[in-house]
Amino acid sequence: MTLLDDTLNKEFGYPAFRKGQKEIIQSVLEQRDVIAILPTGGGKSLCYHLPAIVLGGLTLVISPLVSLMEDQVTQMKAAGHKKVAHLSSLLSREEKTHLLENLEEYQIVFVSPEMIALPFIRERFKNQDIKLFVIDEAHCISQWGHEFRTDYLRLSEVRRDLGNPPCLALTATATPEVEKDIRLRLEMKNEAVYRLPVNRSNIFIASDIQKNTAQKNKRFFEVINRIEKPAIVYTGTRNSAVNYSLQLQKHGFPNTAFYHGGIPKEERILVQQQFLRDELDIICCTNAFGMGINKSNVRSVVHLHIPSSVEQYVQEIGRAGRDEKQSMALLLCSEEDRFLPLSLIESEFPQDWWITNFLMDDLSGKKVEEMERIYQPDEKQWKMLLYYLENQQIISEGSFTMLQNPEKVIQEIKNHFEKRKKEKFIQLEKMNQMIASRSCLRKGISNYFKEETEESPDCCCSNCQSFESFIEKVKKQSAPEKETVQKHWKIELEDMLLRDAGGEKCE
Amino acid sequence: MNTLSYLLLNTVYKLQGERSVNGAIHLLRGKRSAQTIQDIHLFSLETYAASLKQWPEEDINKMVTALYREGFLSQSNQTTILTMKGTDWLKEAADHCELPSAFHGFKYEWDGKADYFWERLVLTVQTVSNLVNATPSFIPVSYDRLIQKDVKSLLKAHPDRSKLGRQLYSELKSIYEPWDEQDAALLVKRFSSNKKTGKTISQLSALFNHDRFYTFIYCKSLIHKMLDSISGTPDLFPVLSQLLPRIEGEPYVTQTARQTKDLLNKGFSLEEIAEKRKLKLSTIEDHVIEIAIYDRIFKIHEFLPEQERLDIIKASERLNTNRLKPIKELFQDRYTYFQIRLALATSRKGGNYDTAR
Repeated sequence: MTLLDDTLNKEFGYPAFRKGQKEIIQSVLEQRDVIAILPTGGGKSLCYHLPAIVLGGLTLVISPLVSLMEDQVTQMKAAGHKKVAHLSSLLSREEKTHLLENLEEYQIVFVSPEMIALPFIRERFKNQDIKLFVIDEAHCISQWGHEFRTDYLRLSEVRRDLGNPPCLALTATATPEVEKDIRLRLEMKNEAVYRLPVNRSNIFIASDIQKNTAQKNKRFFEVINRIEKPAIVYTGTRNSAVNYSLQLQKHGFPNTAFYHGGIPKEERILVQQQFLRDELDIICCTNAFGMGINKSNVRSVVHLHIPSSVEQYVQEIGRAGRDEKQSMALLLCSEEDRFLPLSLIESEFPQDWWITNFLMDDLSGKKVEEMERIYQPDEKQWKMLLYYLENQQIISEGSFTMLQNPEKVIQEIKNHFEKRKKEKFIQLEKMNQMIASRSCLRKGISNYFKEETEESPDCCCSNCQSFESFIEKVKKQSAPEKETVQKHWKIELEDMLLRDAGGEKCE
Repeated sequence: MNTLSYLLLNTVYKLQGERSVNGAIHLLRGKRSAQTIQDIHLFSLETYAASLKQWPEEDINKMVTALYREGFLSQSNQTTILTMKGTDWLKEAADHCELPSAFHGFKYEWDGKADYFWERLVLTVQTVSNLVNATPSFIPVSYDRLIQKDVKSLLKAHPDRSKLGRQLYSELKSIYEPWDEQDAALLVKRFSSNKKTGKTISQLSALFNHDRFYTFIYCKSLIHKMLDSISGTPDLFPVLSQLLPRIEGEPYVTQTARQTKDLLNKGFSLEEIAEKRKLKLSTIEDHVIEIAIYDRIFKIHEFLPEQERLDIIKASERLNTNRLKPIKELFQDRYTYFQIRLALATSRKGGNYDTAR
């Protein structure tokens, strides 16, 4: 047993590394820049958590979502790792100050790209012994990635500012273009690249396109009875997540819940925990659900809408079967579902009349915040616009400069956004082609990521064998019986608070 | 049409056509402004105040649009009134849509007392359950560090965990035992333990067979009922009473108003305070009104002599309005808006504030 295996065992209680982890960790410990493309569920967080312990000093993790950071920190703490923290808008001012003044007491600090961009925050980190600079969900850095975030683009500057610590970029899905972009944007040198195939042989992939919504729903309620649980059902909107959940509760699945970005935090925590503890059979959710959820026995992932890109899709179906057991992904949609993602893409960009209106205003010398207050733009659109204007030096030091030729600038911006929009349409189109294809779906995914195709597994995809035959084949693994008896509240309360109460055995 | 619509329509009704629908929404959402605070007791809306504090704003806005569209509400001179249709529906709905009687918004929701208590209780139950059953590592149901800190200090005070578990059990049991079985079950199902996770409001609403909003409000009313029991006889609940917020200073007065009051007590004028605190004069005036409402011994005569205060109140009664403009016109601008508001703030309309409290 090597020293690394020993640390793994002692600190995390795992008997062995999962595929790819050890190589990645070794390169990180050799202080090399590393790009690691691990499929979801490959145990990404261990790739920096273990080095953070071995290297000492501070490991800084850039993470895109505040709620994700909070979940990760809470999980790490629950597992006994106390020297972790997140620096985010969820902290009070006192808590932030306390954290910033005591950074040397921590092993890992999570921070959002927006937060680390603030000069006074960065100043604090400059004085730290930063051993490792981690970019989680690194695909956000690339315009070819499925979640382009302008604040990610400034990270090379941050890294330089922090004294160029070794960098580990992690992502679940990246085409070679995205990988190249990550390397360029982070100014990596002599980097080690680890890429595990995105194809997961234990996930059967099925696609089923119905004529209209009515037929799709009919099919869904028929199929849901026969697929293995626990299951994640992805929907295109918050409303449909709620509606499908209510329908399922009425159709014999009382242990169904919904989850989306708009539910209150207390409910979010409860639903996540219910799912993790096998108290739910089905969770109906938007793409807000999944990141940071470590559940190994998800048997089925169903999509009732069309994800915006193959990357997005692969990341979501990757939540099935992390325990390596046979699982499946079913994309069930209708012709009508093709319109929703189109309008979503449209709504991501500022409209032409708005851009014209805005830039024809007398902007010169005006502060950015002032204009934001007056125009009240959509937050994401505004960031996109600002990033562009700053690059073109139309904004400098927080103020607008004089526009020499506004008509020309407007046309250029429109062209720029038009181009971005087209790229997104292309990504969507590739997704559409992939699911509508008549040849092997698994090969379709491999081709998209330009991977070698491995040998097809026995349960491959709905084009290689029928969905029905797959269902028949896996039928025998029945789900554990759920407790259906309603206990009296007094017994429930006894079970909770008294030791060895009610004569019932603990699990 | 449900309890949520009823709540809004009845609030508009009780505001007697003197406020806009936004005024009603501010009141129901517990917006902390002098105007809202004044309206709550001027129109005897203590039970409803802040009842929608956590309800999504877009839900409320959607409902308001629908109520206009379907002809329950109508606009008149910048205020909102019920139409005949609205009034008729309200009368019919009163029986089955009224809030549960234990619900008291101003007492428990306005300053977040119920949430404060419940969030700590839920985390305490979960923590004690895990400790008693020897599973010390678990994901807490609340990520809030202040709540976690409070629960930790409670645990510190009770090193014998089994004993704490028994005590908590017997306190909860003695509160719930006289209740309807279903009511007790509703709250108990919301607790998380080492064996099972608590249910969300949405999940309870399916079991309870009511819509989500009614389930939400009903659960709140049960928490209010718990608080009534505990604060009535805190000695009987040594553990639960430690989860209540400790109140410093006068209740219901915002922190910023309290600072203004301190400066007033030191003898500064309103203008000086505005200057000193770098706030608008109108903001300072709002503070004064807020203080006048809640502080029984606060003297307002330096802003408005007693006789003049009574004159304004009389005029308001004669004109049968709480709107400022007609009153100001009647006195031909002899009083400022601030003075009129101050007079109205100290008058009572409908129920008496003291008994309501």
